Amino acid sequence: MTHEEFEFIAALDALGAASAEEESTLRQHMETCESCRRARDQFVEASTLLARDLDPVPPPAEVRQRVMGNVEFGEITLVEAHKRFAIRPWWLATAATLFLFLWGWRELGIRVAREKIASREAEVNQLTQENARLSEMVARLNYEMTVLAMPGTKTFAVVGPQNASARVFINPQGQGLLIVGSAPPNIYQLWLTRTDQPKPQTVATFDIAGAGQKTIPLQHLPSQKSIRSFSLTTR
Amino acid sequence: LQLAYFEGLSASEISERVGASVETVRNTMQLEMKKLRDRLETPQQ
Repeated sequence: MTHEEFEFIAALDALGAASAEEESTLRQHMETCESCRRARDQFVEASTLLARDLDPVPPPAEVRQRVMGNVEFGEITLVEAHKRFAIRPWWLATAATLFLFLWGWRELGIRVAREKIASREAEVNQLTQENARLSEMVARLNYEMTVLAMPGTKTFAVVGPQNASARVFINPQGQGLLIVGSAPPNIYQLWLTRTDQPKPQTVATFDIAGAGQKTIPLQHLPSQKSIRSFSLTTR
Repeated sequence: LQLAYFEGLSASEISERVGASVETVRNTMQLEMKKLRDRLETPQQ
């Protein structure tokens, strides 16, 4: 089949007058033939001139009435839709109020959470300090138990000011403990008198407040045998 | 062309309608379509 014959079929196909077999053959040929495809497009475009050359025909009155009725119905529907979905000021106000409420609620939640965290941190700090204080107390009690419970621990009555009562406990390792039972609030000095030295020497200086009771650890004391006596004075 | 384009008649139906052979109808269609195409390509005065 020549290009002229395909062009002939293309002219008929543009009018819808080609047979099914001709149409199929033309489609297959146009897949590979640019000029025949262009000719067919030109015929299709030319066929529109047929419609352009026609005089306008007014539609029947019934059709016109039906179309205009649909248009009016559509307008009413649009107006109703506009009324239904239009954004009104009270909608904006409600949305803004809701937004502010949610934002405030969120801020409040954040503030409460921060206060909780701060409270927990303060609690942790307090417990840490308490733990340190208890650890210190345990160490002191361990020392006191070491001094008091060790076999061979010797007790010295302390000569002191009026109304002051105190004792010194010394174990064989030279670890000592001064326990003041009752003493008026003041600054005190503990003296040690050795058997081999006539002059007393200072062992500790401490203050007593409140109930007048205190326990003071004493380190690096001489051996029990070289101790003659302890005495307490106020400064 | 109007019978084919607006009423969707085939060449054989048109030939029956106008009393001409199918080949004559097809040739006429092709000839008139070429004229239309020429009108499209040539600017109108």
